[in-house]
Amino acid sequence: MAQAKHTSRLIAVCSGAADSDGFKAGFPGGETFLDSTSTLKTLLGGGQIRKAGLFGDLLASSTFWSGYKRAKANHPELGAGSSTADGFDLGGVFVVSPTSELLFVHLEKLGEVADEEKLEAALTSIDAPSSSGEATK
Amino acid sequence: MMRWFGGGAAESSAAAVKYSMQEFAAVQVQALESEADPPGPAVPLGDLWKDRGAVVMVVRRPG
Repeated sequence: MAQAKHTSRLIAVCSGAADSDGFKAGFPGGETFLDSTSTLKTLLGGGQIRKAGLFGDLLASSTFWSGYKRAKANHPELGAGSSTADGFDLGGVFVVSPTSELLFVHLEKLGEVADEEKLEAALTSIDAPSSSGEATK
Repeated sequence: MMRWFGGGAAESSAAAVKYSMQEFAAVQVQALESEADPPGPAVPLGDLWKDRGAVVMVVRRPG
């Protein structure tokens, strides 16, 4: 992410408490929040949680299913996981102004990162005129 | 007033989706200080950006 200082808040929204570890490590000045129902992920996906493309490939793979059944038989705890938040649920990044104007959106796609220039421009556009150093990373 | 956004400054990958920022703002979230501590009280997401704006990262579960 850009190195320039900005006045906006840096917020991570996670579906589970354990999901925030990577964010905290990369953005120590950020704040983390829990959305246990993945409502934001659903809204960001236009009404449904977006899944990584690999998921469809896995579903169609008989090798995957035979391996999954074998693993589940040996490790029953695999079946007890959350059905609403897993590693295939895609997230994203958005920048919003104090007046709730959406200035930038990036929907996560595996292997792609948000356009830093556009993100930087969006953040700059909402910077307070007299930046006092309180900033996002 | 219901505010709809999509396209424009948003990236093309999201251009086809029309977002209601009113819905985004109403999402209830709870502060997470650490994995060991219970989450804080629920607050509307919109309260978090109303003063300074925000960059919001919707995080995927690692792995």
